[in-house]
Amino acid sequence: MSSQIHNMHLFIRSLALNISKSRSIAIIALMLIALMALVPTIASAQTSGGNGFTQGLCSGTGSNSTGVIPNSILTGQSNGEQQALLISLLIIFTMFMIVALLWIISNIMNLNVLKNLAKAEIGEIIITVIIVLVFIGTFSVASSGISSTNVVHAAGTSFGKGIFVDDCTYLADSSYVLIPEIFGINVVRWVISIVTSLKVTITPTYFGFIDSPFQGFILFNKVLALLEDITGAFLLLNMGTVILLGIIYALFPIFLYAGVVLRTLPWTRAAGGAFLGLFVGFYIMFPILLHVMLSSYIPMAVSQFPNGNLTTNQSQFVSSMLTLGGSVSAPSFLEKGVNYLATISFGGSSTLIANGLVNGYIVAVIEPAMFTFLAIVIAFIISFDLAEATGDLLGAPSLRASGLFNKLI
Amino acid sequence: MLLGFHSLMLQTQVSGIPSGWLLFGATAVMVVIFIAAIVYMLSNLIHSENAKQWSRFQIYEAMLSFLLLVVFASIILLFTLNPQPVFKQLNIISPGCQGATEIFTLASCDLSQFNVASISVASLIYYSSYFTGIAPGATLTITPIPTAGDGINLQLTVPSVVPPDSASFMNLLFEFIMFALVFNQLQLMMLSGAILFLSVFLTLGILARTLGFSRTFGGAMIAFGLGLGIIYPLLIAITYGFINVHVPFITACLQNGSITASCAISNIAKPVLALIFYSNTTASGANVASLFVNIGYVLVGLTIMPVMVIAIVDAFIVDFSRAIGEQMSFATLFSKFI
Repeated sequence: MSSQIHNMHLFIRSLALNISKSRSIAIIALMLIALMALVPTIASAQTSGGNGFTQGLCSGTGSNSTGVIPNSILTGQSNGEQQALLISLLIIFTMFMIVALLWIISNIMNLNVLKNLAKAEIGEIIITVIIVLVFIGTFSVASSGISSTNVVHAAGTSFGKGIFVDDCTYLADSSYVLIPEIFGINVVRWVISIVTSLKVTITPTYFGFIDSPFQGFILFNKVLALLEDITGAFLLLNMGTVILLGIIYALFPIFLYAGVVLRTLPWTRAAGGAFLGLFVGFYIMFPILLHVMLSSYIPMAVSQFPNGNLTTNQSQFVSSMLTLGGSVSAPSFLEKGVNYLATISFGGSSTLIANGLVNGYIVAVIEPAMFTFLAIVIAFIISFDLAEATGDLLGAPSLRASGLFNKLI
Repeated sequence: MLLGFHSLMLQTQVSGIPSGWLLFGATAVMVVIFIAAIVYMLSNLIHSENAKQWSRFQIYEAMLSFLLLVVFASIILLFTLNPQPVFKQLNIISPGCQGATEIFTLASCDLSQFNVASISVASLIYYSSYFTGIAPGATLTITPIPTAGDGINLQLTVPSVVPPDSASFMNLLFEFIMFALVFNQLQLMMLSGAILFLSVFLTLGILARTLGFSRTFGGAMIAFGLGLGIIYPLLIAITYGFINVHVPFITACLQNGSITASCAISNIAKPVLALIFYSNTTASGANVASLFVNIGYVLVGLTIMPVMVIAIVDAFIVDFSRAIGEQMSFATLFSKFI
């Protein structure tokens, strides 16, 4: 009896040593990431000024009742996540029993190979259980512990929809101000097209000359077209990221549970590690990074555009462009035209074009859009790197081997 | 109806588990065990330790292959069960796919429905591009002093209110959607061959794994068969089922494998008008947002989703093949081939 207890003690000690040597970094990293997940779930929701576009996109109204961030498919019905958790734990328990049986057989038949296999498998099962407890337990506690009405939280989810809706709000707000700008530029281009089309023909006796005094504005029109293309590209990128956030929130929890289950079986352990890496990188890290980077800048940038009304913006813009607030006072027709061009390019006394149209547009519109673009790219690259690193720690070479994501980026 | 496209692609007809192939694999494994047993008996006669060890190892690998065969047969049996109850619980059954009783059929149905919706969106964009030329411009010519020649006149042209780049943008979008649809149709063909991949490569892999010299190759084949035969259809059914259910345009308009013109116009064209005549109200904002949700999910389903599915299947194949044989990445091989 004492020798059996001694053997058990030696077994547990060697098991602990094996785990601590090879997996401590992975476990610590995973626990840190899970703790980081707690932080944004208790962050206050960012109000967007109540514009209909952001509410319709992120929260949903009318027929589109959930917006672009739907509920996770595991919460399509109540207790979906609890069922997935129970199934995962059941599979882990079954695997544990099989390994325990192998251990018993190896002791009876004195097979060292089988004994070592059983030891390694029990160690891996313990790590998998730790992963389950850390991730799912943390999310469940974070969800059930939040009751503030300031947090945007879909009822019944364990994964904190709040941070995804917050990120959607930031991106939607920064996109919302781009839409009237695109329309405004189109209106100005239309006006400039009319102005540049003016042609004076003087041919008293079948011979004379033709003059288009405002043809020079065509160059300006091309600059505006370039600004419009850039603005449109930023708008599409923001919308694409919003939809990606919705897909990540809805589908990636499956990777957590699939990863846990696959990690339990020895042949699919690496694949399970890859799935867990994808979950950690894109479900946890990506929205966190976006939240950290956008929350400090977007509300300030968006506040420069107090009026989201397209029609008002357009009419103010156009009237300012046409009149320049009376700032052009050169006597001759051509000088007036040149002064007009210079003023809208480099600035004048009118409030809306104080820095000139192009300069003002770059400062007020392109700069925040570029910041959002950089935030998205940096968040994506870091998230993917973390997914690779986590997959490597959990024994999955696949994310590095195929390089498909690298090619995609 | 102008936009009443019916489901264009074939629906796979799956006829149950590939029992013939698995039986062949089991037979091959039994033959290897039989041969190894004979060698073991002979090794006792000729007193050859090498032969004894070889036969022991072969029997062990054959038993493992047999175990794998049983495990895989169970997995395949699981995947031929009716997925409707589970997918209904997750709310990811596409409209019109309630009759799909196997995962393979459900996956091809989901992808077909999505492709129909994408074609409808592309058609709507195509026909809308004609209307960009309808809004006229105007030319004003004033001749204050008429003379013998052209006189002295002023000419002013007012262009159409439709932005000049809108037609080219619509054409670009249309071409992009049609190009991306080619890849989705390829996916449908791969889905129709999923059962074949599963049965042939699995059997080939188990057979190769039983033989000593091709063990690593066999492992790679098994991973390949499982990845393309089970993981791939499962991911397609989940991802495209999700998109079809959560895109309001598809849920509202996709009926009997086709989309009516009136429904498509009201779900896409109306939000476009709401965007043009935008007012700062919740209803107007929601209309514009629905436009981005509808078209955005369609574009994601044509671009990011196929790449994501293939990357995940490849990750599974790489890791699983490494675990049971030779590491293999079909995406790397495919890209090198291209």
